[in-house]
Amino acid sequence: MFGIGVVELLLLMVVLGGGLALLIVALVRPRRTAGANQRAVRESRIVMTARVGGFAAGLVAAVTFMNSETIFGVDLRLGLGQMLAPVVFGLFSLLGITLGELFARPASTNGPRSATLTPRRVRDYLPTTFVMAITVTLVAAVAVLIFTTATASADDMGRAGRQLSRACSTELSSGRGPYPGSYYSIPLLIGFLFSVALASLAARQIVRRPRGAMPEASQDALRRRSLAAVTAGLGLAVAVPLSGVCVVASLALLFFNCPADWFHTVGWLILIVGAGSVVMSGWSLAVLFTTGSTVVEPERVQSDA
Amino acid sequence: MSLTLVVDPADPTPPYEQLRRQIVTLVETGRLRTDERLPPLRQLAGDLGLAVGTVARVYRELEAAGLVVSRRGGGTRVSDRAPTISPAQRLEMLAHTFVEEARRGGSTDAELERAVRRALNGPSG
Repeated sequence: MFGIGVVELLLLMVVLGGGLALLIVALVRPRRTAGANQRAVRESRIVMTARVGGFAAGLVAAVTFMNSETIFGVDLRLGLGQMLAPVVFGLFSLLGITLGELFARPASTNGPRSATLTPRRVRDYLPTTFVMAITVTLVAAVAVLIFTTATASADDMGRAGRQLSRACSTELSSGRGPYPGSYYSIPLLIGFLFSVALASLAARQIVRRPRGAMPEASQDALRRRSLAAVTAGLGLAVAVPLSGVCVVASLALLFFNCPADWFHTVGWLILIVGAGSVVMSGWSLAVLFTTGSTVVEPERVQSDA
Repeated sequence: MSLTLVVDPADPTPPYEQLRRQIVTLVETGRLRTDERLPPLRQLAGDLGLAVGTVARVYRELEAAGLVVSRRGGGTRVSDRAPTISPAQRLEMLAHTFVEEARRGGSTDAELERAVRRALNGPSG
């Protein structure tokens, strides 16, 4: 498929992995930085490096899913790999963010250590509007997938949940595929479930991470940035596949040979949901690139807060 | 304004006792108000570089003293039956303790007053 074999993919992974390792070494290596700031700079670098590493690994994994026919015995043919690729990218990105927050343990200072008595809660650090938009997208994705699963039939090869069928008359029935029935929807829903679970875990880890050498305001700013990246990863993992599902489903409904009365109405509705999910994908990408592409120096974080 | 707790490893008082005293003072003086939630054990232990068990022991003792209540899923909150004293009362108590300790050590009232003035004008005063 697409002329890329397993050997080329392995080579790509080795090249990308090697590049990533060099990047991590370059970023995490302690540098001559102004005294007390050195540890804080290193801490924010680890967080950012793991995040960039997650994105890179996610890209490799997504490309692998798009170009493989089977992975771990799972059949990815008939467009399933392409549909799952963004979910896989989101999962790896979330994993990178979580690992970064786990490894970035600030070294304890020799002098007095302080702590605020204010409990840190995930909701205090979340970008509210963006999270609401992701929640709406997730609900829409589940609703669309439940609908398409309920209305799908087996294709002419007998594979369940792959096409939209309808009896046009007593003698004639018509089918149109691909259609996001259970063949696509079940792996996607499982992927969404994993994404939400991993995003929740990452969010909890970010908020629980002990205070480091940075001032409280800088810590809070870094936590906000990390949580924005987590939500953006989740947004991508949900919105991108939803766009694909909506396009495929609405095409099947709008261009059906002998449509039922409701086919066109529902087709247009799903297309509108698809347009919304494209906007959501762009929004998530924008958040991801504005929060996760650069190493955060404590001074910069502080000035952002 | 958020309240801050400080644990000094150089202080001969065990970290557990340093932490307990500070929370007791904050509750008694009303700076930590009734039903106000204390941070989760892991958050406080992580920030102060202490073992979770150490902070758990402090919370347990505070609960036994009736200063806080822990509810499953609701965290640890300041009890509505926690005894409180006004800042003026607390100052009186500290002054009495200081005077008693100083006199027991053989200091005269004049020396005691000079020591307080020096402390007030000192680096932390």
